[in-house]
This record gives sequence, structure tokens and C-alpha cells, in this order.
Amino acid sequence: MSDDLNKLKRDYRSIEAPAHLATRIKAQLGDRAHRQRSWIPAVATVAVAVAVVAVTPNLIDRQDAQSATASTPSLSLLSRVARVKPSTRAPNLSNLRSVKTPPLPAKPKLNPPKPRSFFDIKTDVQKETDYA
Amino acid sequence: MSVDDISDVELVKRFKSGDKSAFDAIVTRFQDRVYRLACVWLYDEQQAVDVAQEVFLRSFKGLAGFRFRSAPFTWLYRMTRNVCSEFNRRRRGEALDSEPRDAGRNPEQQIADFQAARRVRQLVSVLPARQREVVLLRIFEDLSVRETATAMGCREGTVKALLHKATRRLQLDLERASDRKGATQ
Repeated sequence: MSDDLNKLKRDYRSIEAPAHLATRIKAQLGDRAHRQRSWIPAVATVAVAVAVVAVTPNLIDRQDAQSATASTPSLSLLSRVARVKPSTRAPNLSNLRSVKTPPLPAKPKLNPPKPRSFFDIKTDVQKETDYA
Repeated sequence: MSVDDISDVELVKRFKSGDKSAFDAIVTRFQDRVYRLACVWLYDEQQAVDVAQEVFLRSFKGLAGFRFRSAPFTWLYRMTRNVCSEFNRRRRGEALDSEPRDAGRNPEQQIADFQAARRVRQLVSVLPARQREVVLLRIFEDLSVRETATAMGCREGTVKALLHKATRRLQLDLERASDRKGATQ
């Protein structure tokens, strides 16, 4: 390598970053850590959970109070009663296959139709006159 | 065992395991190299500090996913190159300052750095992009052929070939420049 290149290399290697660079980086990192908002979703989740827990007992109490004060059966109660199924067991339809049934008689075979010539064909008028 | 004796990989491992002080050591260890590269890659030295800062801020996040497939500096180099490209794209079309304006530094040192970076940039600017990268990494940053290949995402043979072409071209340019200097004197 030539002397010029070596000298240039030495000059290049002597370049130093300013002393305040590291301080600036540290300050920036501190700022970023300070401004981090990663706790917001967690806090929001907790707040929603607390709200749900606080509201749910009130709803249940109100439902109980409504059902206790009702003098006439409500429609919702009626629908619940109507939905009660009978306790008797329904026959299992799949068992029907196991019942043996007598085989059906063989289907009677019809005589083969006679070959018809053109002259056998009767018109409707001829059929009526024959019938008469 | 002081932080200076720990290898780059060990430092990154410490940082990944939650030791935040290891990151300070990483910054101290690599800031000069990242800054130098930024000085050469950028057309505006004033932004080199901003680039170096951005590189380390991104690496603070990114090192959590570092898989040790390459050396930490190789990884940082790629990030520096990307950030420099972004800055250059943003700065394209704007007027460039000709003098450094970092008020917090020794002006003489600052000017010397500025000139050294400018000379390196002038020297490598005649080369095609890939050869320029090889010269910067292999000659000026003293990376091994393997590390250079990893940083550039190519084979070691390609690095050797590119380096051969680049050094021949640089030698010629330097000889011509010294001849011209001798003729004028």
C-alpha cells in the first residue's frame, strides 16, 4: 500500500466521535423510557374488569327483585315451562331397522305387449263407437 | 474483569440478559467507528452525529433480536449504511454546508476530522459503490475478509476480487495525484 494511502488511513482512524454523543444517546434513551406508554392497555383492562365486577351484582339483585314482586306469571316464565320436555322416553327410531318384516311377495310380471300394427290403432271416435 | 476486556459478543449477551450498563459500553466502544463511517457516507458531516445517535437508538431496540449470525460491528455497520441512505435521501436537494458547526468541540480537531473524512470520501468517490464499500471496510476499518463479506452480504471471493480492482484503481489515482503535485512544484 502506498504511503499516501497509509497516511490517509491514519488520518481516518484519528477521527473521533464528539464527546457529547454518548451523553446525547443516554439522554434520548432515558426520554424514550420515560415516555413509554406500555402501561396504558394494562390499566385500561383492569379498569374495565373492575367496572364489570362492580355492576354485575346490581344487575343480579334487580332481576331477583323483579321476579319476587311479580304477581302474575311472566311470559318468560311461561316459555321456560313450555320448554320442559316430557320425561317418557321416546322410541328410538334407529331400532326400527332391527325388526324383521316378512318379505314382500314377488311383483307379478306383466305379459309382454303384443306387437301393434299400424292398422290396430284406433282413433278416439272408433273407441267410443266400440264402447257404445 | 473490566468492560474493556470483554469481547463484543459477550457485551451484547450481557445487554440482552438485562444489563443496561453493557449498552453504555457498546456505545463507547463503537461510537468512533460508526461516526467515521457516517462522516464518509454522508455528504454533510454535521449530520454524522445525528446518524450515529440514530444508529445507537435503533440498536438499543434491535439488539434484543440479535442472533449472533454476524459480528456486532458488522450488524451496526449495516444499520449505519441504512440510516445514512435515509439521511442522504432526505437531504437531497438541500444546500450543503461547507464548514463544520459543532460548537461543543475543539475547532482544530473538528476541522482535521472534517478534512480527513472529506479526503477519504474524495478518494473512494471515484470507485463504484461496491468497491467503495470494500475499501472502507477492509482497508480503513481493518475488518477481515470474512467480516467484510458478511457486512456486504456477499462471498469472500467477491470481496477479494473487488478489493483487488479497487486498490489498483486507487494506486493509479494516488500516483497521478502525486505526479501532478510534483509537476506544479
